[in-house]
Amino acid sequence: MKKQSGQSEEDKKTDDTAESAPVNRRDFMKTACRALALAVMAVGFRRLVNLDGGEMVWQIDPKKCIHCGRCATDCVRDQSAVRCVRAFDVCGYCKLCGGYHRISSGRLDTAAENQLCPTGALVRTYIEEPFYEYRVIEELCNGCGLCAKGCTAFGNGSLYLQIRHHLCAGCNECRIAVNCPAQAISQISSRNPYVSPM
Amino acid sequence: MRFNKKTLDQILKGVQWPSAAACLTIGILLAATIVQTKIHAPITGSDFSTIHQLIDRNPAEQDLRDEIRALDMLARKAYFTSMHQLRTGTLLFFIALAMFLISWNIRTTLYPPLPPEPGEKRAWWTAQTRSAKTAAMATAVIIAVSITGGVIHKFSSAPAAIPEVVLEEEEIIDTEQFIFWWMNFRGPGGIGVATYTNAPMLFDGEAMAGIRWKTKTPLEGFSSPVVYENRIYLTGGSADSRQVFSFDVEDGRLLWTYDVRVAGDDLEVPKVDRETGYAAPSVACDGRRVYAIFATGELVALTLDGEHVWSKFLGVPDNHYGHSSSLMVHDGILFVQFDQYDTGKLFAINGRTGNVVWEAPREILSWASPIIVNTGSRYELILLDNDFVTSYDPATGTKLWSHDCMHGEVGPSPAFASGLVSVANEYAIAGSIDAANPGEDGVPPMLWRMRGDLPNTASPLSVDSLLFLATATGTVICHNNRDGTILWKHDFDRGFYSSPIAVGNNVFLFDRNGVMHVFEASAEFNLIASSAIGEPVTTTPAVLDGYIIIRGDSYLYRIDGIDISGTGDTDVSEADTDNVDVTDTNSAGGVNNISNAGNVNNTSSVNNTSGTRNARNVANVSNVNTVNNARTVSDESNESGESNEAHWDYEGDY
Amino acid sequence: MGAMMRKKTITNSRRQQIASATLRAGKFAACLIILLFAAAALGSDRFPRPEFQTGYEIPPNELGVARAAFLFYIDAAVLFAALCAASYLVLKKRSRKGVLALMLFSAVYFGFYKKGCVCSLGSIQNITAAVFSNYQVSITVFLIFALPLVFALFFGRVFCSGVCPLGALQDIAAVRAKKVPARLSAVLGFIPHIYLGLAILFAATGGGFIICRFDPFVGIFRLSAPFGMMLVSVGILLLGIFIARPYCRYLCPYGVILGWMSAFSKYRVKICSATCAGCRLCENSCPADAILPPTTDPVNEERSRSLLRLKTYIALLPVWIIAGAAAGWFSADIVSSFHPDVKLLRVVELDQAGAAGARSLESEGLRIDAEVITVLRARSDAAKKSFKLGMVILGVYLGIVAGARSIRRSTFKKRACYEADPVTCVSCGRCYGYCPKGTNSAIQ
Repeated sequence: MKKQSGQSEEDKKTDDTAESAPVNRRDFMKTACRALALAVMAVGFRRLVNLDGGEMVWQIDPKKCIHCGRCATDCVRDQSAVRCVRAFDVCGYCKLCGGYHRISSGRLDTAAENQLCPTGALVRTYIEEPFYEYRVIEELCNGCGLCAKGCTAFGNGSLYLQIRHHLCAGCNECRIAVNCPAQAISQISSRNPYVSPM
Repeated sequence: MRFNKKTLDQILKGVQWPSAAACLTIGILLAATIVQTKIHAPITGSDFSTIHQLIDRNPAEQDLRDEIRALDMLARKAYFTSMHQLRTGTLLFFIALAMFLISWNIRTTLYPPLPPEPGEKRAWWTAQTRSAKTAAMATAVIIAVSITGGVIHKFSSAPAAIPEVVLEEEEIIDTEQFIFWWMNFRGPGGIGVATYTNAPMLFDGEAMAGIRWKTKTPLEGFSSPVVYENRIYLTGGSADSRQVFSFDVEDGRLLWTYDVRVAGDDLEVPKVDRETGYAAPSVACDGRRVYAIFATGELVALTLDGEHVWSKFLGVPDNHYGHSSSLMVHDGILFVQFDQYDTGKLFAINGRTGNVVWEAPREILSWASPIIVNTGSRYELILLDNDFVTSYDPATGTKLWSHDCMHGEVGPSPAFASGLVSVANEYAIAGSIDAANPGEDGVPPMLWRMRGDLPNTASPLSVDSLLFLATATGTVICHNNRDGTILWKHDFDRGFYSSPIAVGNNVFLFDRNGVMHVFEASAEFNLIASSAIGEPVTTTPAVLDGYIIIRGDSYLYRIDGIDISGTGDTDVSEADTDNVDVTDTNSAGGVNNISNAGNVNNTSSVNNTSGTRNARNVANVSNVNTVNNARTVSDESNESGESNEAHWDYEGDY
Repeated sequence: MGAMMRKKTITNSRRQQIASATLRAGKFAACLIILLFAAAALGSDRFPRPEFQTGYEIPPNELGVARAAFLFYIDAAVLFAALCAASYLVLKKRSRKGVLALMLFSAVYFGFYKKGCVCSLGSIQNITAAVFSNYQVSITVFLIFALPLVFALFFGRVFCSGVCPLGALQDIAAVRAKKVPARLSAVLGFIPHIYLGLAILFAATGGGFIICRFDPFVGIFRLSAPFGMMLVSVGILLLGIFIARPYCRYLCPYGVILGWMSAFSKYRVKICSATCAGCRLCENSCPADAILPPTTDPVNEERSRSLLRLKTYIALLPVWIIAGAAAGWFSADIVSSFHPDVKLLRVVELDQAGAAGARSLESEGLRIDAEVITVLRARSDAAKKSFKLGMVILGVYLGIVAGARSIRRSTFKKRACYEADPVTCVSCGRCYGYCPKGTNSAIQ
């Protein structure tokens, strides 16, 4: 191997003997340019990189979100990485749940026609009179935000949309963020990757 | 070695082409699945919303429920199946594609290609210089295209962004002419004073005595009728549809209906209180067009024949009862009091073009309607909200003055007479502001304010120096409008939602049972007549030349009155209304449950019939905002006003 | 300001009074829905947290964490290792098979496992955004941007060969590569420069990351994408069977920067030696048209003509620069109309004019009022202004690039044997295998 490379160096030299001075000058120029490029990168590293910032992840600010429904349709995943999540400590455990029932239906039971969720991802269980617990089945949720809209309009806002990081592809530019009419999606530090609605 | 290569090539060939075929098949299937789900959209499709609406209307139908449950099951299954198919399909597609490409790739490396013919000329220099030329030409083309594109864009884009509406010159109908008609809520200026004094007092809705016609209103609503020339304009609304109607004044025929669909299909219909409904704001007419607004924030301008002129979607108002401020027109400008919690606005819109002339921010919610009055030297547009009485310059939108004196949830609109702007609201105050004599800082003084019996929705009415209030519990109070002294109080059987109207020297007032009481506008209570229309009344009548138009919960009536001077009162006495079933007429509107149907009995009692049929008295026009009138009265009130101002110290809490 | 703040709090307390008045007086019909709406004004907990009698405990809110930071460092380490391996395989081992294996690994790791993001191509925009705004760049993103460039400074475009997942996909697909006519290639080769300029312009003005938006292969790595995007992805991949590495050669903006770095590279791909048979197999095999033939063939042109051409192109250079600046100036408005702030203002203004019939979600979502519109207008104007300047600079740059392309193609450079152009060579190593003298013998 060593021999081989040495030979190639020799080849080059014999080829360029006639113009050895310009070649040396060219080599010098190249080295200078390399040094310059490296220096620029080093300066860039110093000035641009935030060593304490951590990685950046996309997240929805529930306070800005207007539950327009684009999260369900505009994510690059076929089933959106945005899912409805639940703040149990904010929930009022109501029987009439604006996130669970179609309010106009009038009946407060669990019949399909009275439910708001199109995929049946919001499940209610009876606890005690008059309290009911609501849970989101994450695999079924498509992030349409109907329940979050209902809960924010009628209830405490304990159902809200979040980008679930184990599902998010972590695009450099989030396609939902680009199309979000409320500009509610931004990049936050991965150390605190979720935003509370309160 | 050679044999091995051949075998390998055969094997790879055996992988390559079947995987290509698989790739193609899966690709086509995938595309079909995607197109199918795009078209049918199992979960978000329109089938669901239709069936949901159906079931909401017919909650008892078990068949329908079963149907939607089955459909729901099917749709979810379809949704998840298609999702699963899509995912597996895509994976299989790319596996097949990868197998196809990789096997092909390896095959190409098995047999190295043969060198090209040795004698071939290269002519590399020619090729190089030719591509230099092409590169230069391409650059020139790119530069030329971007310059021309930019220039074209510059000249074409500016006018294309917002189309300029060019309209023919139009003769604006003089606002002075408005006083002969009922162009908006509570008549000329919106202050509840009729120009004509010959309105009928006696009628019987059940017996159809004194009623020229009654017509069922196609859609419920609490907007009051507006009358111009031979047409009545009205609105109705529900969660599903909002409509503007026009009726013939002569025979009550429905002339046209306009279906308002400004906001599009994805409109989020707001929840409204049943006693407000979707069509509480009354329309306004400027003699050329009629304007209507609904609780959904949809604003529409129509020709008098019901053709669309322009429309705007102002956004669904954030209002927990439902938007109910009526519209007002002055000098060709439409005023829209669009109050809501945070982002309320007062819009002045050019009636012809629909362009916003000016807009002013509003502090807080209200349900009152604007009035426009001449306070002596200028026109003022006076609005109430839950906190303030505010006066605006109708030409510019400049805030002229405001008083922080209101409280609670303000429904009644202001009253005006003799330079005094009077306000009243339940849980707040009644009071009067001397708008004709602003102080040095431009803010007119508040002459008096007082608590007590206060109206809930019925607007106060001011006649000369008297202020009349009608409460939801049935009390009518007459105040001296200069100092607030209570002159008299009278308790009627039923409360008032409809606003009182001054007709000559009398006050006409419908109670919630639909009985119209007429009493004298004087310092002593003197009931003249009470006549029942036969169904609940929440709206305010339109009083015109010898007739009244009133909207009950289900019907629209034209009252011509019983002529008792000639043929006697037989019609009235024969009217047997003992067995009136009010709940029947109630069912369509579905509003309030009248507990005592018997209230409507004994419909017409005549206390005083003299002078009810005055000849048309246009001279009375001076009632409405004439400069002299305002000046003289305000001088008087100034004298008595100062001492009374601090009668009752109002500090917020109560 | 203070007065305004106070007014706000007064209004809020008023609202509470209103709400309580609603409760107390039962004004209008006090049905449940109205209570809900009245309470809507208060905004926070309308329904208190219940006290359960049955011993039910409120479950904790479990959301989980984001991808752990050390995994990002591992990604950066893998990138570094892959670059080292690529350099070794290309320059030292000269093994096409090794490069192919590395390609497959990179396609799987950086593509299918990492779902394509953040890639070096897209990181151009992160860096630009960080330069022009307070955008945050983490160490790993900076490394993803800088490592391939540092390697290019020393070893040429080894990133393109074995590490870039986009390049890997295309390289595997390039089985029946046909030569693109030199003249067409000269024109198409101009596109990456425009693309790079626009990407930097949009990223610098906060107009979004267009390289990411129009990345054709990211949908393949995620195995899910909108239908149209997927069609384009597969289309470009299949086009790559016949036109080798179409994205790398005629679109990739990162390739432009790698080319600059590679021009100064210390070690390069060497093809030829004295034993070269001149079979031209390597030249034909190159998917990037980067192998320059020896200039030993006679030049069938008078020297004066060549000189005249060269002089003309040199004289044209200032013309290209000025015309480019003018083109940038004139087309700035068209380009800036794609900036999100400009687009948003247009949508909102249409809403205000009532022309669109229904109000857009944008107007609703941003709670548009006069104040917001003023801010939007200012932002839109600022974006337009920056685009005017940016497009002029881009025009000047493109003028220089265009002039240089013509001048370079009009100069005679002596080459005794085949040489790989360091700027365009993607170090895929294809030519090694094609040499009839064997992989290593080619340079002996």
